Amino acid sequence: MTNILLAQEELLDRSKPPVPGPPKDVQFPDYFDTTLPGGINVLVIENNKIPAVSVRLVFKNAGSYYDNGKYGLASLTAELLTKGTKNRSATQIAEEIDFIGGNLNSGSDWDGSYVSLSLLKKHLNIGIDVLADVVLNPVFSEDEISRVKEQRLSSILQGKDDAGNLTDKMFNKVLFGNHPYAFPAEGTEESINSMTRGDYEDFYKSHYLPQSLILAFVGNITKEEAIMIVNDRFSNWSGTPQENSDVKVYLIDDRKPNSVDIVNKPGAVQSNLRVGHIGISRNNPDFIAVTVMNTILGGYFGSRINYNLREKHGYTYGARSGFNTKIYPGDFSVDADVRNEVTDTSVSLIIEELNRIIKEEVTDEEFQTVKNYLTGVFPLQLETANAVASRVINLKLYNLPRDYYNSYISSINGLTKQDILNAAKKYIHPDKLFIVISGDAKAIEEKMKKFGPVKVYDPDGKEIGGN
Amino acid sequence: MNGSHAANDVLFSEFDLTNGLKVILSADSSIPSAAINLCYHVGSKDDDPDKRGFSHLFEHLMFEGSKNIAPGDYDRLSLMAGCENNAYTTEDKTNYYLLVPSNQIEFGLWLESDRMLEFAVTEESLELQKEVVIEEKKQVYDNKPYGSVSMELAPRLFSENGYGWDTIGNTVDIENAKLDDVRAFFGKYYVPNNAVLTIAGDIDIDKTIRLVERYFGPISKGQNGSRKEFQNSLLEKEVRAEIYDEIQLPGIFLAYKMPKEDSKEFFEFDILSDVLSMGDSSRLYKELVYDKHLVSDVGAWVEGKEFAGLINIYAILMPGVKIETVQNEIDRIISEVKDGKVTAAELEKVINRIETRHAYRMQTNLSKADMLSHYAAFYNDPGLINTNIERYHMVTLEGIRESAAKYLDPANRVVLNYLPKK
Repeated sequence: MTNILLAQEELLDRSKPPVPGPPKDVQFPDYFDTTLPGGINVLVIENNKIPAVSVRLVFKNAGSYYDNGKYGLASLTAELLTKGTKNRSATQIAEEIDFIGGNLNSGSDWDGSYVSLSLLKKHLNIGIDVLADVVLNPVFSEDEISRVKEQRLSSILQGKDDAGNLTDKMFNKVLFGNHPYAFPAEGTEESINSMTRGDYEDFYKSHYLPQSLILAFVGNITKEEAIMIVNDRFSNWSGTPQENSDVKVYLIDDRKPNSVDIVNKPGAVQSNLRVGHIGISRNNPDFIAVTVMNTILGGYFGSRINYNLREKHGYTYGARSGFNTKIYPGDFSVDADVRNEVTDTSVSLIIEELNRIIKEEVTDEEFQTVKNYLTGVFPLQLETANAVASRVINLKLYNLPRDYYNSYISSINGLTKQDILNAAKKYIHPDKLFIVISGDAKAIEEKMKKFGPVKVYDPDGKEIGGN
Repeated sequence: MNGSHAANDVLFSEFDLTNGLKVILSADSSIPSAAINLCYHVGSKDDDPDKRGFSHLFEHLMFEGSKNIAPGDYDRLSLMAGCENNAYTTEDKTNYYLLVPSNQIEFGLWLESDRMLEFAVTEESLELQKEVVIEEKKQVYDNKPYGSVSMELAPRLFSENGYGWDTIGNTVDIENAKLDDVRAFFGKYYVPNNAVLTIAGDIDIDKTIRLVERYFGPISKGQNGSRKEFQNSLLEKEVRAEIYDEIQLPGIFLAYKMPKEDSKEFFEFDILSDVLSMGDSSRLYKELVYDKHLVSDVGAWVEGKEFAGLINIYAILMPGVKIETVQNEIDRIISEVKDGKVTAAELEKVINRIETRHAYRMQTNLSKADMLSHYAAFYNDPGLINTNIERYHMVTLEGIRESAAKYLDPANRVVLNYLPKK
């Protein structure tokens, strides 16, 4: 054995990487997609790797975007679904689902509201009973409402301790002006206290509709089984679509870039910072070029911003940039936690990188690395049935073509360096940045003035100083 | 190949190289990708008491170059090859992984074997990674509400051994790390006979065996027997402390000592912790959150380590609630458990939950590779990935009651009260 190994070692040239064989083709899994007469869009993503099933319901046009001034309404309505129905109390729902080892969750984001169930296939029938009940028959009892409100108020209070949470809230506020995305989806102390039972009932009636529903069956289940379940449980469900006449696409008109907003956390040992501006929507035709450009800029470990702030200077444990894409344009921002003394230097380095990406073409090596990386990790995004389902649901939610993921890799490989530069020029604006920091104002305020007028706030968002 | 197996069992082959490296291969071609997982049997409990945080700092340094890989090239080359990489350190192990497209398996083995082959970290890399780790400590522990709990608990639970500090270690010790110490650490622990290599995913077993032999076979064996072992002892008197933090709401954090990961008690307490806090029907959630509105958040979980174990319980209070009230409620619920009030239905519920968890853990190459490595490194039995579930089925109500009565004793716990700074 030893001799054979020694002989091998002589032949083995470790000085450069071995040459890979040709990459294998990656196929996006096939899925079933149909819209039933009642309007429900049924998806079946079958995968028999493990004996488990997830059922995921997505209600379009039912997200926090539609809170319409009652911040937290979409989120609390979703939470209350599992807290009591015409047939079951909250406790009974919890007991039934826990007993079969299942997970039943409901919630919302900006673009929709969600209910999901995951469990072993053998318990599917019981799980579906409970799932259909919470979706079709919620009662929004006063008792549960007060409990959920109390919990939410405590969570808002706890959020005031969290540097990242304080930065996010302030960033959205200064960035989105009077657009719905400016307001906290979890609600505010004032908005939570002011909502009543009628608000949740109304929101449920007008936003939880079969016509808005994407119903995805994921895992160890066939399309025949799935359709049978839908016909059995959801076929009698009719909702009257109401016009959301009270909801407008707000204009974003009171943004003042090149400003610095500091949420004061006296004694903080790091500055949590976000630097950015308005980005793009998910269905922007340049989405893939923007993704590749952002990956080079700050979207992965090997990016310019992470390299510069972490690997070159040791200012941070990690720095990232990203486009937060939704139905309407979300934000583009660079995020990092850096030590107090280098807060201003870090912001300067970030701005330098933003300027560089819009001025010069990326290098061949950077470009090829990101192409290889995005292509190489693509199979990992298809590894679990739920990961595939999330992608299929996004295709439907954002009206993307069915073959989107089949052409994903060729779309990436078809891009040129000029496309990347164009995307950077079009979507990165170093001259119109909002800089938001939560940290120790005393330690950082003075040095931040070079970036623009500085305002200082307390954790409640009340202005307490600045120039 | 292991013998009989159930329908959803993970199949694998295992063999040892002559230098002592344990190798496990598990084929699954559902996606054209594989996880290459290297688990070194060294963690923060092996740090010297005046070099706390060393094994974790070392994890960072392993990305800083080796004999044929220049500083910065580990990441550069692996990203260029379409791979994802990362690592983590616990008290007992340091685990590295690389997720490779299946045409890059040889590349992955080349890259991973080089950093076992020879140490080449520079002074410059060491200084830089010290700074990164210190920022990591600030971000994850110091600047986060209740973030210091594990650092405050460890020395109070384990005054006599290497579990007495958190994996992240101590800022001064990290600042003082010298290149010579780091090199010695490598020589002692980063040797093939202290590691397990698992490759799970889209692989050809025979071809992969040859590649592993080619790249890892020539690496020299290290010395054996460098490991510190110790006995787990229980506490004799309750330890209490008040910690003032940048928080709005007080919190209670309890930890009881218990036997190690592969003990009968570990499985009993894993089930009991779910009885206490898994799902809205669990005892702590139902009583303290739902019925009495005393806490906003509550949880219980077990930590199974190589030589010891812990049962952790925490609660974050609702505004205006007294910490004594919540402490008394938790103590009452625990004493009910010790009195044998856990029901057969609760046991069945938790077993169902554990079956679901077991199934979902088999979904990814990385998760499978991580478990195979772990069970091989600590118990010399990667087959535990399939058979561990049986240990849960063997748990009885009587066993839970007896273990609860023995270990959930106030004298055997540390209690931290987190209070808002004035």
